[in-house]
Amino acid sequence: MGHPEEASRFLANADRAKWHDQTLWMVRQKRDVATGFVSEWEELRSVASAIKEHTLSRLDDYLTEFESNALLNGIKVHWAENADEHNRIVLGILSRRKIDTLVKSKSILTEECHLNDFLQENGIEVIDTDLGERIVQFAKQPPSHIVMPAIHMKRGEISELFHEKLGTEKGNEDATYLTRAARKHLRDKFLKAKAALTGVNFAIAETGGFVVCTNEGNADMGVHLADVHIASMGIEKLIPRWEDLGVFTRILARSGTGQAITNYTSHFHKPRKGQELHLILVDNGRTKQLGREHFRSSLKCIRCGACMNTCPVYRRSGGFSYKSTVPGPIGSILSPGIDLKKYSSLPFASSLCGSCSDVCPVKINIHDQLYRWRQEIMQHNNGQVQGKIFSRMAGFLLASPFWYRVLSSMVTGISKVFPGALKNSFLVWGNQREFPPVPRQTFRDWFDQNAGKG
Amino acid sequence: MSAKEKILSRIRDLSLPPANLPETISFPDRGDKLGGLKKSLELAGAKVIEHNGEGLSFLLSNYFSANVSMLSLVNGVQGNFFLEGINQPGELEGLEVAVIPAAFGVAETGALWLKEEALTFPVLPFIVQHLVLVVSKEAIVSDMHEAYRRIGPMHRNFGVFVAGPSKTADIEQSVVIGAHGPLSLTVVLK
Amino acid sequence: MKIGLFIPCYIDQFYPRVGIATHQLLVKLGCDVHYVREQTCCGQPLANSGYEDSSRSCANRFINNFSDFDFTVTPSGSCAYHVRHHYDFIQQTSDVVHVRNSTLELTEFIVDVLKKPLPKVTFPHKVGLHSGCHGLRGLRLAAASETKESAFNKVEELLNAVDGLELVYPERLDECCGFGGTFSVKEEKVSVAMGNDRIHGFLEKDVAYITSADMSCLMHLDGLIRRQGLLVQVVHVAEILNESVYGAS
Repeated sequence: MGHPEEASRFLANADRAKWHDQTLWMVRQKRDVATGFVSEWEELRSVASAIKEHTLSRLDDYLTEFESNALLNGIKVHWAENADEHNRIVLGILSRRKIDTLVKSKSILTEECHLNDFLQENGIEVIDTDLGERIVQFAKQPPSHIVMPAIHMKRGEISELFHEKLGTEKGNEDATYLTRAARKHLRDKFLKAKAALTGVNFAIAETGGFVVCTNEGNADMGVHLADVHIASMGIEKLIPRWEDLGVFTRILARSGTGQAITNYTSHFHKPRKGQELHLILVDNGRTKQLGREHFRSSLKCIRCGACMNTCPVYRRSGGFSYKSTVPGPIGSILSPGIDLKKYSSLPFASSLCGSCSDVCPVKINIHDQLYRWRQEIMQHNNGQVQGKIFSRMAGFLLASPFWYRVLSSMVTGISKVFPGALKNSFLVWGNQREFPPVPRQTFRDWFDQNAGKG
Repeated sequence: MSAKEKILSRIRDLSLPPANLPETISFPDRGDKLGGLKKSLELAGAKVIEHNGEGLSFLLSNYFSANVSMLSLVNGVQGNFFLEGINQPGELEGLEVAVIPAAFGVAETGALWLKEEALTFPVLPFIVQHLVLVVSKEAIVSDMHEAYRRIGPMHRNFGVFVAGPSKTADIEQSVVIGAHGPLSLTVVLK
Repeated sequence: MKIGLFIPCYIDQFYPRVGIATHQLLVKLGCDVHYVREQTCCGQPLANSGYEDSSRSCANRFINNFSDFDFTVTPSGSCAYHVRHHYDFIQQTSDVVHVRNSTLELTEFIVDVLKKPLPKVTFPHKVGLHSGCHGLRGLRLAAASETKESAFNKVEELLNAVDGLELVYPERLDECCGFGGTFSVKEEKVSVAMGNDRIHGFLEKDVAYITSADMSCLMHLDGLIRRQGLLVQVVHVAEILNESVYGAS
């Protein structure tokens, strides 16, 4: 099923869909307020965008610089060409130390690599510790949003889930009560865990360190208690200079949740005494995307989630309708690069309104790239010859003044003679909308009779 | 070829046209830094107390009962819990209050910079139930640009900006203070 | 100054009144307006569906039709955006460059080029302004709510000069109406949900009319309004400025 069918399913529950739309719109509004306090917001966007563009244009140099500085810091650096290599590296680190439990903070990269499934198949217990991620892990679902993983769930469902998994009171839906129960449950896990995995928000070439941002404090609870810290990052997460963090920490949370900054911005450079610190640099299709001129800048993404919150389609179709690790507008330009056929409906899941591009803190021209992917998809066309023939015919007819007239008069003629014809259900427009009333004359007829005279 | 060589050579083979790196940026002082810091912290759910530093212990006794365990790493504040004899960071579980010095604060975001040296155990500000950060009113910078310049390219193990008590909104976007880290953050401006 | 009038296909067929209002308004403003009878479609519906390549001859036809004019003016933000922003897939001859640079949406032409006060008109009604996305974020007819640019709105500027007109916005200032060309049928359910939300945003403000510089958005909203028998009417900005709103007193 493509996006339209999934979206229809989501919208079938009208109350839920409305709630989803309103909740995420509220986050967009918080973002507007937070960015409104920053008079140089547009300048920050431009600078952030330029820093990322520069870094991508010299990514090999920065990766090399980053690695040598990280090694000097005592970080063990690994490189993974793809998801499978990444997962094996993680398993290898754990196996060497005979560790069978891993606490994880949010990492969309590990979702992309399907790390949890892989580790569990290999006998490792994986505990997601971000509250939202723990909820979806209990529910055996992927996250539906990259910043708010359980935004598709209502508190009643979460209460039911916690009753079953954590033994909370049946029917108690109080958010504080449920959060405290998770806190207690996960504290226990943190205290016992020998290894913790985090994502990476920013990695700094100049200092060979990296930054992890959370509000819950779960990343820090994990890594500062565990003997092994594994950090997984996509190679595009690099920034050149320490001072560049000033720009990115100002835009990330304001865009994502409407906070001035995340409550914890943690800077890791060296392992704690007696601790092992591993960092895995993952390609998994990123160098391929880097080679695509029109889509290269999608790698500037800092995963703030603002484009999802603002997207009128995402808000009304839910994260799962995209069926890709990263949903929403940014997902719709990243995913076709991973599997063009599988994700071919995503670039069309947009009205091309452009709100995503304007909200993006690193100025990715998301809606232009959606348009561009549409061209790519139709050129490959997944073996559908009819579409191509139809479009060629349409292109020819619409370019010819004569056929354009014939076609137009057919449309108006048919609807004049058979007013109901256009309402026929095969013309989807008419399912819930009236067709425009057909006027007495076209503009051209009017012009010929009036203005065009003499 | 190793994964590293393959990745790097794939990037090199693209020979992308170089794009310019902008100069690092800075903005003029925004004025009232103390007011800005207070506002930012309160917005993030922290309690802010202005205090001259004298009798800080007494002041804190108004907020925390004498029966609870309190660790202080700030001169002039007497705690009843000590780090001597603590070998593993997990042993800090159960600690009720920690009073820790912050190096400086950032007015625009409410972020307070904690250096690892000041923590002994990096887990301390996360594992404790209630966190008290003490920062000098003189040590406030205007924005994050200035903050990172002040720290300078970092080579210590760990450092963290704390900008509020731990929190989550993962259940229907209802904000709950006290997720995995402290249930409250009190900031003393002295 | 020679002005070529581009009347988009759906306006020609379904909303000639908008074309007429545009033509009359430009004439009133003293423009030398020409209507090339050989005009067809700008090719946007094909290109947005991923068939840019098949729309090549449409684009070339458009360039041929309008290369002799100083400006090409159209009452559709979306079509102007397509010509200006997407016509890089045809060879950039001097004609193409000229037409792309000089194709303007009606309100921006009046505000940026003519810079003339409009003839005095009256429209004593409460009117909601819907900003079409291609005009808003594509042509920057106004500052979009996402950006922190200082506020401006070319369409509003013109409507503010209309006597008696009370201009209001829905609470979600500039959210998309959900038309999006073929999106409206490919993603019908989402499109309709967006359209209904947009209409209710206006009804909450008790408007008698919804206006826009883009008739395609209004066609979609009007389809929903009439199917549901709602008491609100859509009018193109040109109709208000030309004082030719059908049925209005």
